[in-house]
Amino acid sequence: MSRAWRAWVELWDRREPATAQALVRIGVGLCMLFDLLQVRWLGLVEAVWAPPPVGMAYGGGDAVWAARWFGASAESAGLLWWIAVVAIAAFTVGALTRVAGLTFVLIYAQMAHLAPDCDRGIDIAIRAVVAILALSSCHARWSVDAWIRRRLGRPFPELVPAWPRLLLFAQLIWIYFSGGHNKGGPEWGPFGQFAALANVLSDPHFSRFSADWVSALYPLTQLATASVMAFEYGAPLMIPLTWFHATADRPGRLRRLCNRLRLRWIWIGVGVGFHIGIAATLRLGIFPWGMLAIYPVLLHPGELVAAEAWLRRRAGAWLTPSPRSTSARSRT
Amino acid sequence: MTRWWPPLRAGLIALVIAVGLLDGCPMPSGSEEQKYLREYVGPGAVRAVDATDRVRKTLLRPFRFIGSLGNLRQRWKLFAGAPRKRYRMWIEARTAPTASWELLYRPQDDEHEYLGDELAYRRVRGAWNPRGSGGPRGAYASFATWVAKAIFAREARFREVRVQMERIEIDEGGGWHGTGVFAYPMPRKREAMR
Repeated sequence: MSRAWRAWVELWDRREPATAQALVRIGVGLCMLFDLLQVRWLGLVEAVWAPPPVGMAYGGGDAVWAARWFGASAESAGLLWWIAVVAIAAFTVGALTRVAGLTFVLIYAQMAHLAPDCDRGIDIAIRAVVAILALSSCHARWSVDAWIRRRLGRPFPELVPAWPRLLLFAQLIWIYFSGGHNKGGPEWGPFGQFAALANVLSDPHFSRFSADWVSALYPLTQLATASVMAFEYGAPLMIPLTWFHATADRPGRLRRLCNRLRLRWIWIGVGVGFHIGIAATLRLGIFPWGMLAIYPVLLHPGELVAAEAWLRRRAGAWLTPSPRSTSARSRT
Repeated sequence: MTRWWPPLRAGLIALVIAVGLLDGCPMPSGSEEQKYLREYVGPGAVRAVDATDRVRKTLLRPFRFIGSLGNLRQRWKLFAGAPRKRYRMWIEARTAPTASWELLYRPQDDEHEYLGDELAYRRVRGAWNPRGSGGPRGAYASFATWVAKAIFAREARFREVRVQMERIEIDEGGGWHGTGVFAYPMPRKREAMR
């Protein structure tokens, strides 16, 4: 066996706390649940997934076994919606997590086949993430499954396979990189004066506010367009940057420089800012939140453990009255 | 854990990544891109791209069922093109064939927000928002029928509903102006809905 293959096998055989995977499960699940409940709240379940003339689900073909089994009607649209909601709710709380995750992916894919124009990129991303997590041990923490296993005296191990997080990491990097090299319009580059974001922010179909403010901040939108391209094309750099961070004690000038400049954190920070900016200015539904929900996979398990310990300390200090406040209270 | 599982898993993951990269591989196979290639590089480039794409599709064939089962793909686009020529949807209704049209909904128009929350919801917008240069989407006609039915059910006075797209242009430096030119009109009559 070659050295490279051994290293490859070892990479995917690593173990780590389930924190990141559990966080993504809960975050992505909540986003999807919110979106599906919003469809019901707006009274659009039949409009989106029932066939014409009741709704807009013109899709069909051999791939849609749900239509063959349940028939294509307003009732079957409602049935699919219910199955998807129950499955994603169970997945989010970690009850029968693997079955729930796979059920959600299969049913939600059928809904996407039925109404292809109503299925956006974020829906595909969420299906990919849930499919990977359904094969993971993301339910080893903060889940009904973990609670039941503890009660039965067979708790999940402290460390679970890390490969689902690493695969999600690769998926997230690819989404951005692919998004970058598919931006073929000249507006995304210098030949189009980096006007893409100004154009999008002015588009009445997408903008949250009137376009009046865009011209006042036009140079900033150009800078933001260039930053988006740098961020997306730079996504693969997150692989060496994360490696440099994880092996900070090893020698190497480039490693030291990247770690000192905190390039990994800068990339993550730009991503967070990019999505919050989208959420604030464009009406893209759950897209920014769904993407941010995957971000915990970018962190090292050790960082999440430290963050959790810090939060617990803060919460403990907050919930437990400090000696000074207790003595002050006793004096009064 | 058995000894054979880690290498098998590593192999499967390598296969998943390879298939994903192959699926997401950017190929200039669209008509616009091919036109550009033919014009600036030559017809040989188009033939080479076509041949490569055929090989790519052949290699992906055994895995197509997975993509179909989960409706998954690895080519990601968000505002791939952001041109200055765009659209603004108008939804209008009238009480008789000779009556004037009454504007009910238009994005970014606070005075015409009929069914505003429903129409702005991302999935519904996916049905009515035209592709950059590719015209209306497949669900557009069904959308027009659905929205007309919704209006007729709420407003007994209307006999006709019309959905159409005004061509607008984004100004250089931000903002936009309408052109007064409309595309993709989709009229619906109450009688036809019964």
